[in-house]
Amino acid sequence: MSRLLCCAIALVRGWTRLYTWRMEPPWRDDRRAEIESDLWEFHEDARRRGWSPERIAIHMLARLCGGMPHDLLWRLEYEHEPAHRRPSWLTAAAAAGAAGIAALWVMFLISTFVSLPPLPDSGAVVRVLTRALPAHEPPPPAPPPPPPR
Amino acid sequence: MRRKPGRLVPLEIAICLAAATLHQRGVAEFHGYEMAKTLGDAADTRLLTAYGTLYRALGRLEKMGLVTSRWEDPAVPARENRPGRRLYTLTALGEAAADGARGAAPASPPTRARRRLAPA
Repeated sequence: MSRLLCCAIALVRGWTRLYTWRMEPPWRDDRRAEIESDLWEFHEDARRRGWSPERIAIHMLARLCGGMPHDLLWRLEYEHEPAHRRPSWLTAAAAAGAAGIAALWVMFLISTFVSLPPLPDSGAVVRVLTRALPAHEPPPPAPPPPPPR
Repeated sequence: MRRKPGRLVPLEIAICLAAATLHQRGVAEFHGYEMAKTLGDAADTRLLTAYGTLYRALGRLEKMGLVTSRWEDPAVPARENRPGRRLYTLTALGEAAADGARGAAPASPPTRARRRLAPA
């Protein structure tokens, strides 16, 4: 199996997992199993007809991309069905929680910037570095002994 | 785009017609890929109907009572070493819809777009 074909199959599976995420198990598992069956049937059929792995992969990707809007609409229809609709208090609580976390994060950022000491001017930094650097340098070599007389 | 409840889109009509044709050939039950292939053959297209388009349409047809579905006995795919198939059957209501579609458009030629791509 070519790398492109592996990639195409992984993309189809990944996308199916993504748009069926957090659905009720019967719906989610049925759709995933159905796509898995289609992938297998198509791959076997195309292989029997002598298609190259690249051609199979491109065909799979085209079928994937062409159906993406319908996948999303299908998911939206599922969400709008009264049986699957989440209670409004749960949605409101989730939204309030997210807003609270965002507010806390913004407050933390603001307080961090406000409490930071001002940056020193560049002249002072250079002076500090000039003073500090010689301490880290190796000691100068000993002077040569005086020449014999 | 909001569709009128109970109204069939072209792909759903095509599925009913294809299922009725398969039934006449002695294939009472079909799976998703088989339907995609039948639709592709009927429309003389290279590209099969997209995954999302096909399975959403099949789901809607099932909801409307035009097809029913069941998962095949797990022993069969286990024996053949392949994933299980969801098998669809056209109901009497579906056959009536196919008959109605045949009567409504007996000889309408497919459009240029539908000649290249599977009906959506």
